[in-house]
Amino acid sequence: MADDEHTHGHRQLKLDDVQMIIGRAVVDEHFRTQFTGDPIGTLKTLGISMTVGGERDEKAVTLVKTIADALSEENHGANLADLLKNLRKSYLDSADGIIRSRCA
Amino acid sequence: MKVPSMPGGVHLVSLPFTSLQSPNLGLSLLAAGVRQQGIACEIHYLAFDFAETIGVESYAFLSHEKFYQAFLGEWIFSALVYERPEALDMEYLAEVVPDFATPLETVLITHVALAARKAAAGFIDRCAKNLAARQPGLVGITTSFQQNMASIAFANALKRHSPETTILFGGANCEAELGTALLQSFDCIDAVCSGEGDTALPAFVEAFAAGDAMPEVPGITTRNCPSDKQPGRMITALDNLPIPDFSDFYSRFDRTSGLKDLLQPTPTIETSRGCWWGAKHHCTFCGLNGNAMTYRSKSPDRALKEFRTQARIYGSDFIVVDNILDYAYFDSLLPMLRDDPTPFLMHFEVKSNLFPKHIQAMAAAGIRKIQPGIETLDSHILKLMKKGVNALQNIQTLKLCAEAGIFVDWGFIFGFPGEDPSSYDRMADLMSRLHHLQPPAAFAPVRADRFSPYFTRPHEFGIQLKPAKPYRFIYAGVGDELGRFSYHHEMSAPDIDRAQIYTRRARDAVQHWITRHSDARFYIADDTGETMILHDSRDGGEETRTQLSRLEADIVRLCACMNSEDRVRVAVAPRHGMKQCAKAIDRLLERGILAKENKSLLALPLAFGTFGKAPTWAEIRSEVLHQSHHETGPPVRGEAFS
Repeated sequence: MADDEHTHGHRQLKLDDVQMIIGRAVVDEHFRTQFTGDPIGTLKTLGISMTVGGERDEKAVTLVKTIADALSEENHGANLADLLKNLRKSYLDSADGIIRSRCA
Repeated sequence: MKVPSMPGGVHLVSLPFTSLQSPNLGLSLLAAGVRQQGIACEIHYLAFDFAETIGVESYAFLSHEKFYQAFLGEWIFSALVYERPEALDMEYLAEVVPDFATPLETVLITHVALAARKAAAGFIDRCAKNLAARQPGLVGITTSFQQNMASIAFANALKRHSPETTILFGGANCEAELGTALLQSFDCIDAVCSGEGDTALPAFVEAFAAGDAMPEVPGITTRNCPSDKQPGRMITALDNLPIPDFSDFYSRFDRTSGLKDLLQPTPTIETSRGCWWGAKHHCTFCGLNGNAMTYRSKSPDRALKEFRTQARIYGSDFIVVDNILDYAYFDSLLPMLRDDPTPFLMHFEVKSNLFPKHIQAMAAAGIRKIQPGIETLDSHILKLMKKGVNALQNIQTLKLCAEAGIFVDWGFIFGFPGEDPSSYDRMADLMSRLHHLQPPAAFAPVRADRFSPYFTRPHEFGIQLKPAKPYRFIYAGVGDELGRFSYHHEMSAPDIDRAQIYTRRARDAVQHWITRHSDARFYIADDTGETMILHDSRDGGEETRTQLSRLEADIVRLCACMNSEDRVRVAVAPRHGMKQCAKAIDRLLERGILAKENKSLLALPLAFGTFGKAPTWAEIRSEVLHQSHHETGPPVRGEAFS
């Protein structure tokens, strides 16, 4: 493995990790509380580092903090999974098949 | 005309992300034309395959128009075309997606898009392998909106499995220099059709079937035949076009498990091409129509024939893809649609300066959803856009459509070079009086799309352009060449760089309008001819009941549509006196019962006996289905096509 992928027993954050973190945070309220309270520290306990080549990986940090902020913004409780499921379904319900590109 | 047979036939392909609800009109027309030549032609709608791969709900979510400007659909397939470090993708998810999504939506998009991205490579390879197994003679791939990356990835994969297959690209993303850039950048593309392909493709197919491996045809650019030597032919006789064949789409829709319970497929139709307004006064930001602005329309008889033929097979709900309704149709096609027993229901793009007779004619013909290009509610900004309408006309359109039960589909755009920031504070105040009318779907900065006046003559407007933010995350690594591929562009100029700040009140007002609209009503509850009772719940509180004086009621009746203040005064003065009239007008303006633009007045309450507020699309559909007076029976799919 390349040296910069592992730092002191930790490996660099990958997109697969991001997906895993979101999936786990949605269904596991305890993990979510831990993650939103200290996102970088929580990932460290999972063996994931926010550094690359000894330098702080700002892109990774920004993404992780964006996710943590979003999940902590509201008190979702145990209903977050349902909330996201309904959110996703609502876009199916509101689709009318017309592609509008001229404005948002 | 019959041509020599082509082993393997012609295969036309549409990749994600495109609608699961409506067929591609361009491909359907081309397929009909190729089949008329006696050559087998099949359309492959691979969006269904991808929806089956990642789940229909995920597909619908990722392809929703709300996130269009993040180019999610392109991003998901972009890593198959351009390698990039994961850091760039993380930056996209953290810095681009939040511009268009709430925080929670950003999390959901991240999760769903990453899963879709993981599935993309297997999906592309599987589809390419399946098509290669058919030993296609010629493959045409259409690309519009967010289809470039998936299309290029697919073409690459197809070439790996079937190197001898000739691949031709077409669609809006291939217009003019965009098509040239694709051809020059990707070896998997053998030829590009720029502009309308209705004559180019059949000519290419005929020559190809006769043994010419790379025909030289006007409108199709190949590596041997640069586009400037082979300009395409714009179709002028639309009546001669075949009626499109949607059987491939509907067959694929029906085969997608569970889809029928979730979505209703809707046939597309065109009655015209180009834009008659744009041909005279090109709206400054509009890049639609590329190099084919010249307006052409079908004869009413031909248009009606297509409506009736398609309704018999696919149902009577239509999406009309025209950029603008032909005004001549108000006296020809629309009455024919009205008088036809088929219960037509359709979406149409129109110009927003509509009179009551136009709106009544549209409603009667089944045009119950319109996209009138309202854009803003300030006359100076509308003039900067070269829209040819003023703010009060826009408000009148919203009002009259609400009364007629026509849904108005519009977006509020801001940030026009030369605009006055104070306009937005005035509009914020105005919007609080319009909650009973259809709000905009969104509030977004104007873009300079390729082929628009802003793009072709930026110096004239004092603006600088750069490709919209998401492009560098899609076309990763092309560096300075990015501008060759971009269609949407951000504008920058000293007077508009602060637009996000000075439009804040207006943005909040739009959001408030959207939130309040479902409960907001403002209508004439009773009109005795002497006095008038208004019911008003625009401000979110309880509905208030207001009784107007005889003078006030007379003024409101005279202003049911836009009327000049002078004419109103002349009409009511003999009974009430000029001075009283002037005071009454001022009172009505103060109370938000009248709106005024220069010397024109418009009453804002909806007419007695109509909807109390702009109805929702669901309410309109329900009313139309209830009123349908003629049983046409269920559509007959698969019926022989003539």
